[in-house]
Amino acid sequence: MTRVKPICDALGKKRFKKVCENLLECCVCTICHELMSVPMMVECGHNYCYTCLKHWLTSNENTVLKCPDCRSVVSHPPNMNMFLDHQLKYILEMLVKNAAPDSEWVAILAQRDNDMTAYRRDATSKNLFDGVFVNSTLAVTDMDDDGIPRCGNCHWELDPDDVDDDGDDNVCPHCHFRIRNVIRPSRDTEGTGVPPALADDYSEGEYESITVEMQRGGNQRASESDYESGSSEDRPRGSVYDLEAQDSGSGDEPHDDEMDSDLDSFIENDEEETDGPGSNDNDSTLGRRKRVYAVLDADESDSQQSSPDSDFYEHNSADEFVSGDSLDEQSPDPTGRRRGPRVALVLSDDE
Amino acid sequence: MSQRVLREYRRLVAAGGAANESNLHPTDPADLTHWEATLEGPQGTPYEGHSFPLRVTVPDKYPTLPPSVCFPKRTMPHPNVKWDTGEVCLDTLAGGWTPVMDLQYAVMAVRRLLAEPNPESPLNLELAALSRLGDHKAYDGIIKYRLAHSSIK
Amino acid sequence: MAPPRSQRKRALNCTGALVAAVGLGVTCWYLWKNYTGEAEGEQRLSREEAAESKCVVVTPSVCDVQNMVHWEMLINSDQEDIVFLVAPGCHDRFSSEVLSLVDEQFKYKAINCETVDGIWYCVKSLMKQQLYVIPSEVSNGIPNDIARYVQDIGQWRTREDILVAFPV
Repeated sequence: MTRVKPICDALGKKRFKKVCENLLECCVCTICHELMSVPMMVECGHNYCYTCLKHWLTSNENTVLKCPDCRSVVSHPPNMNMFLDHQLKYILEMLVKNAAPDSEWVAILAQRDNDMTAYRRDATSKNLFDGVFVNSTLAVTDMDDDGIPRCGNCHWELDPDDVDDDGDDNVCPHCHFRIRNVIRPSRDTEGTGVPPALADDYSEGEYESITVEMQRGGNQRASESDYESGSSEDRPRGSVYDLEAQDSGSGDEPHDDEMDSDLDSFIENDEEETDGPGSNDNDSTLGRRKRVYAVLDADESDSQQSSPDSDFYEHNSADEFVSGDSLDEQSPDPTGRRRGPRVALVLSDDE
Repeated sequence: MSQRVLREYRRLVAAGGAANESNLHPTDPADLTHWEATLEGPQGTPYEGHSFPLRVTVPDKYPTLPPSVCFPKRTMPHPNVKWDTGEVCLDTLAGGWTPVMDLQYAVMAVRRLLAEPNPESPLNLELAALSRLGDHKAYDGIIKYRLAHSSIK
Repeated sequence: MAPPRSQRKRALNCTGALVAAVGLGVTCWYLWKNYTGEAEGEQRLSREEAAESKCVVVTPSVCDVQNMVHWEMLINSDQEDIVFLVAPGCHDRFSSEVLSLVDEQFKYKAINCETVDGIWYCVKSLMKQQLYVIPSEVSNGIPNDIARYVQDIGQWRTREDILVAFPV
């Protein structure tokens, strides 16, 4: 109280009014654009009406819960901002004092009281925000493991066919936690997925081939003389697909003549010839790239059954029990194969 | 209809034309479900000098759910707009939507999209491909062709 | 003598059935007409409305026949639904020899392409009914999937072929 009057005097009438407007602006919920009713503060410090925030957090459009303003993740249930609530109540009571019984301020104050009752009821029954924080989790999918979505709470496998966008069936069959995000079957994550708007125009295969071609074309910068040469040199340079053509056309197929280690195909070999069909100005770079990237197509992957080159088999033989832990061990390779460097694999369908 | 959209309408009316450069207004003030706006083509783009009508539909659960926007059929050649239906693909109006955004924000986001297409989520694959390819002359040429061709009809 | 009641009733029933049948027939015809009209309209729309919309890929030989064919006359015409996709390397020549003779309002019908792939994306985007191109003057020739986007592909081999398609 001792500091308030000097501040008011120092501000003067005009600026005091501006300060008041600014403070009132902070009391308006940015979702409903009304004075906040039962203000709840999110971890990040933003405040909203309890009802507005509840609708947002429980909306099925939400996967991860985020603050509407700053989008920071909301991990813990918001708490009521008691200070703000008291001030809002005071403001409304001042507004109602000289107002007519049918004025909007009376209605707003009454609504605020109803909202507070509802909030307290939810708090008592431990059902704040429709229990979204109590009994819900996210489905997590480890694409490096088996690619099967699992409940974030109990790690139970989730069948994508049992969970849908309605949210009613979006429940873990084991712990019955609500799954807040929509699960996509793992097979769909392999494809690009046709946007619903284009579903009538393109099949998934067509859409994928077009978007892949678009990505390939993004690397292309053909010269103006392309039409004159009529050669195959306007295939995109430096792209993996170019290398694939070279690999298949060159007759040099390191994967085929491999005896003891298919991983050698990933190993840089300076002695490898760098001139292949269609080679051009960056042939040395391409030659090196040819050795770094390998394109596995369906035929090759089938032929590698007897000599698999996945990470697991670096450490274990094919007959051993498969354990995830074994992938982390630094044990020497029992088959005596030389481990190659980790490189990117490009998987493509054989055409 | 949510109170929120009613407040937006009142605010737009009170602010007047200066603050509403896209002329966003409800088709029927008694029913605030359907709105219209007019987007001016951004300068420095092939859309410059053209005006594009935009239709905005407000869902019942607005602002928890985003409004849906749509151009009239076959009026907007753009990588993120489906030519035959006018449907728009914009993250702000899908997963990126939050309830603190409003209708004006949505309309402005669409206008920004005209100047900054997103080739990652195309609804017009050929235009998106031209954009990714970097063939700006062809990209601009197709858009200008479409705009001139449809206006002549 | 008035016909018996049963006969009158039968006659009424027949009339009623006849009227109902006619009404049903008219309704079905109306719905069918609307449906096909809409489908045709949409097909027309998706195939660029004009009966013979054309797309010409401009390469050196196409420029060479300018003094015979006079491409600018086609471009300047409101009746011709034709678009020219100018291949890389031909921009300047086509601009100086053809576009300089074209009215400003029609210049949109010529689209300069900076890349060969760009030409084909333009063809796919425009979906004209007829495509004219000299495959030997375009690297890699015509893509396999172009047939999805155009109805007829006129593959010119020589300049004479151009003159056949576009008589002087």
